[in-house]
Amino acid sequence: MSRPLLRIEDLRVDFVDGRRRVQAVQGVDLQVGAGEAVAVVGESGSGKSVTALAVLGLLPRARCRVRGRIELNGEDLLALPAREMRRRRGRTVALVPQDPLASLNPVHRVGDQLAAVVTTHAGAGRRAARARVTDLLADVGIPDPAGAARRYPHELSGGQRQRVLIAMALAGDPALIVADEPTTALDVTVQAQVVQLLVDLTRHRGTSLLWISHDLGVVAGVADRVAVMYAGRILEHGPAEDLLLRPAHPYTHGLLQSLPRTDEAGDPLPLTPIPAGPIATDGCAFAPRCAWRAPACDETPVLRLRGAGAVRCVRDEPHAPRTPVPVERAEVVAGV
Amino acid sequence: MSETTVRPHAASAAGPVGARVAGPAPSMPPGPVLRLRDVHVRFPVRRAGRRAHLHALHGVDLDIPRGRTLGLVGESGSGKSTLASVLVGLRRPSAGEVAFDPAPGSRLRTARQMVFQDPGSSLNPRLTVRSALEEPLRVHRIGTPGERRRRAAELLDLVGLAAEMLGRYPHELSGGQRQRVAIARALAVDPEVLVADEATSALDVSVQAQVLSLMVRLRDELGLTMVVVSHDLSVVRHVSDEVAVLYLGRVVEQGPAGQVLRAPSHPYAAALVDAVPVVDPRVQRARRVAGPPAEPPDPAAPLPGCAFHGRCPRVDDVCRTVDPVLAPVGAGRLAACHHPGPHPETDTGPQTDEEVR
Repeated sequence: MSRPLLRIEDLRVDFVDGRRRVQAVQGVDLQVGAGEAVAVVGESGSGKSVTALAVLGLLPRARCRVRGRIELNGEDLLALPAREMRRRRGRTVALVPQDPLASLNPVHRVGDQLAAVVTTHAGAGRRAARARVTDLLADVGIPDPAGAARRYPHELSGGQRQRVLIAMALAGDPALIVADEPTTALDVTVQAQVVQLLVDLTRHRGTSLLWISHDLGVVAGVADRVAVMYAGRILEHGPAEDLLLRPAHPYTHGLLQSLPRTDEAGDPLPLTPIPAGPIATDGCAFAPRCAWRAPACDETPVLRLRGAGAVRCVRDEPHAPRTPVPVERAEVVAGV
Repeated sequence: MSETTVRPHAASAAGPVGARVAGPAPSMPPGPVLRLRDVHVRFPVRRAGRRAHLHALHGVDLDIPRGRTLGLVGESGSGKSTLASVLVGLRRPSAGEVAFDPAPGSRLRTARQMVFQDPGSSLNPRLTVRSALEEPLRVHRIGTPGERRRRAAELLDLVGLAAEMLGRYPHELSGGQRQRVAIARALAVDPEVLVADEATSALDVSVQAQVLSLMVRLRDELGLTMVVVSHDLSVVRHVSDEVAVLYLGRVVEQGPAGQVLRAPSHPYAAALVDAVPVVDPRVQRARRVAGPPAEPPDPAAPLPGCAFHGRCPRVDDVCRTVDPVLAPVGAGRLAACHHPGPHPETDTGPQTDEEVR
């Protein structure tokens, strides 16, 4: 990768509420190359969605402090005035949100909502916009696109609504699509189709993808590279295959071990959940829950290169010895 | 009309001395703890201004073996949550029979309990953990105030929470802690049957693993019969002995969990199994979903013949006209299909070609 399309440098986001201050993101560095798909995984409160919102410039400026750099096409988005950022949104970077029902206006026809996006970005006339709407709906695999355009959101199924939102994100032909848990609300069979659609479309158009998710199974099918977040920091990142099959950080390892799995005969393996515990404010944030905790963990670890990725852990072989992941039968199925 | 029948059980009717009956404990009645026969549930709905019926459950026959765990899987609209509420006695069927055969000495009104998906809304925000745990005991007039206090502390310990949590309110707990409290509350009245409706679906992966482990431990320690409703097949596989796959209010496949989920017979069960993402990029990237968009159909407007025929790769003329019945397809396995599988050649499973990427 020569120059990345998206380069996040030392991103820090603090939410301020009166005298309370929450450090949601505490120094994230992340790059997404042109045409590359990068997934950010983490559990609730890890800061993954806040990172996504920062890239989109959608964090409430009055209530939070954003520092660092978010460079897209060489331009620092954080330095842009709100008006300029609004012009980039949809045209340079677009969002596929999690909940299609909450993201579509219930009192307007789907086609009109999509046409509004088309005219905003392309300045097209009404007739041209209508034709483009039909094309976009066909692109996202909606049968009878002209008929679907006349429907209201509640008349479509959950999968179709999510397809409409994908069409909306594609309308401005952005260089980067940020997808924030776009399939969480869907049934598994529909989820598989929507994931495949989004991957196919972005690959075909050379669009970069920043995929926010808690679902390691979905991520395995989508991402070229994966970053794991915990307590506002990236603990590990690397090529998807390395990270998911040979995790280096004890937290990544623990997440994978928390998934209900079966052995080669198809019988369930005992779960080895990560123990509950607080987030440490000094040293390694994960240390209180870590089975490989050492005295050195009182120091805040830095991200160190490991293979084609990096790990934030003071140990050289973070959780060795470790039970190998049975990859042949690949029965490691994803959790919720 | 529906009737929930309860078989009378005098403790003295346990048979001659030494006669041990099959089942987890010698004093238990031998049959299934719950038996459903031709259970229908219909909800009145309006479609285009006309009155219609949504057939949420359509002739369900189901036996829940005592001391075992049954997993119920299916997509939205399959009727799995409706079935869960029928099993626990929260909903009366529109037609059919639900027979509950409790163990001798079991408290009838409290023998079936439920754990819901979202403890944030199933726990009263204005009750402390202690009151939440004592409330079911108070309602059912079990124990003295002192005994109830002791029982609350005992229950909290049982689900692995510290005694200091007793004074907390739900909003002061994490999601996993709230779900533990919800489980403790369901167990307060010593149920025989515990129905968990997507009880771990809202939890983070690491927390889900903790709660699942807890449920398995409690089931084994307390000898519970469990029904686990989930859209997540890996969760169901992990806890269940048996699974039943639901599609549009019908049980379309049933059998031992390992067999059904490894080699499903019904094409819908096969589609579900194939759609479960696998945490291996090499496998997952090579997978292709075939066919037209698989949208769950409208439960208020089912197809004639087999309800699944619109999405089925094995469809033929029989499927379009005749509704298949649940019939044996192997040892302990049932499927409602005219062409029971496994049919790996027609059911487009994961392909292995590398060209896809």
